Amino acid sequence: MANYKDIKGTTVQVKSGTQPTTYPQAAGEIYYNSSNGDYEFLGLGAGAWSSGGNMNTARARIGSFGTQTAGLVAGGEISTASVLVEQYDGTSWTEIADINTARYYLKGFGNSSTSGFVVGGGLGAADSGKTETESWNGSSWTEVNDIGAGTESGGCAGTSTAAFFAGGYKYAAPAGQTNVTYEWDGTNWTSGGNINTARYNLAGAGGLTSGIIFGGTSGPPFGEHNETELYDGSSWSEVSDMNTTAGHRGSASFERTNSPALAFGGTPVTANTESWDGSSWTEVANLSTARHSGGSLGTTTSAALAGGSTTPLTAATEEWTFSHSVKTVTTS
Amino acid sequence: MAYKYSVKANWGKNANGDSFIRHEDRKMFHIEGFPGDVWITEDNVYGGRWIGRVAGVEKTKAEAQAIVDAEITAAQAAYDAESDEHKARYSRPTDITLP
Repeated sequence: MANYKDIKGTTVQVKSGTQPTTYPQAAGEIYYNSSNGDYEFLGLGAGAWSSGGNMNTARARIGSFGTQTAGLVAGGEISTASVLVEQYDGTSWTEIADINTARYYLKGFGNSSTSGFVVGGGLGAADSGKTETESWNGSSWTEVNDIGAGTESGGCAGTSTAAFFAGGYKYAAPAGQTNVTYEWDGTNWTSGGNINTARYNLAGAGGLTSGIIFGGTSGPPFGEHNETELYDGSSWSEVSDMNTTAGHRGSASFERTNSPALAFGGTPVTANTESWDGSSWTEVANLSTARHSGGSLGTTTSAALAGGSTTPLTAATEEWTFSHSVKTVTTS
Repeated sequence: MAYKYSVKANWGKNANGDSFIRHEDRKMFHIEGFPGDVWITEDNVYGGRWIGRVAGVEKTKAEAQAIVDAEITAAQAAYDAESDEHKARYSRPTDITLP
């Protein structure tokens, strides 16, 4: 039978007393604590939101993709629809090349801050909705193939070559919430399986063959949703509802899977944050400031929410990170 | 829970990577932001230190509530001026009562 050294290449160290929980530390490395006789390791503690750098321009209803330390937000609503794009390095935001089509309620997906897309969106009630998809290569935006109908506020996630855009608000008659899903293969949008509950202002995370959508709004009569659905690349399945009924939520699941996922903020204006473990939602630490319709970046352990509406629009960013804590190994 | 009330514009994260609200702050005390750059912090030594660190301006609860009310009233007026189509799709900003 393999022992610890066979597996890890080192023997178990002996340490004594209280161990530091900040890096540089060998997270996950097991040691014997001679002070209390326990085997311990440095593991993840609890997540919390803290302040990130402020965007240069306050805005909401933004398209976004990338990570907490290499992320990008595009377009959105200032007082009118915007073409502005900003890039985040984990500390500060820098304005970069504009998108070609001004819009808000657009969505983003992609591989990284140098390889991503924005799609859909609109200009409000007088507009027919936007079908445009734009590709970002790290230095410029290029228009590529459109989605089938002008739609804003769908649930969207995935890589540069495999993504989905589900639901949303479609302006063309009959206008209203839609249950249509579009699938992206890197070149074209094609039809996928319909979502079970038509809605807009929903959030999406994961990937094309392992997607998740949650929350949203519909009407008339106007109302928010708490339904969660999972996608396998062909059909959507309803699973456990969120604890909080909300639209315009942020989402983080750059892990490219429908579990885990993270939902935060939303309308009615809330600071609520919930974590999805594949079977149920658990309420975790709230945002510092309640808001909705910001740009979401990152993973469930390293996320960011940029901008949004706190009633006035905000430029503030909040970052979701985990502290570390000493865990005791239990053998029975 | 007792709170302190203060006003300070959120400066986010500076070039040194120091945050307006640090991860550690969220572990040590309750802090919550409201319209008008109003912040409530738990009325303890940690909350007080935070107000000092960010150079927040302390307010009474009534003063802080008045700032929030003014922001919400303006947002509600903007909403009321919108089209019926807009109102059918978006909810009206609701009043906020500070804890």
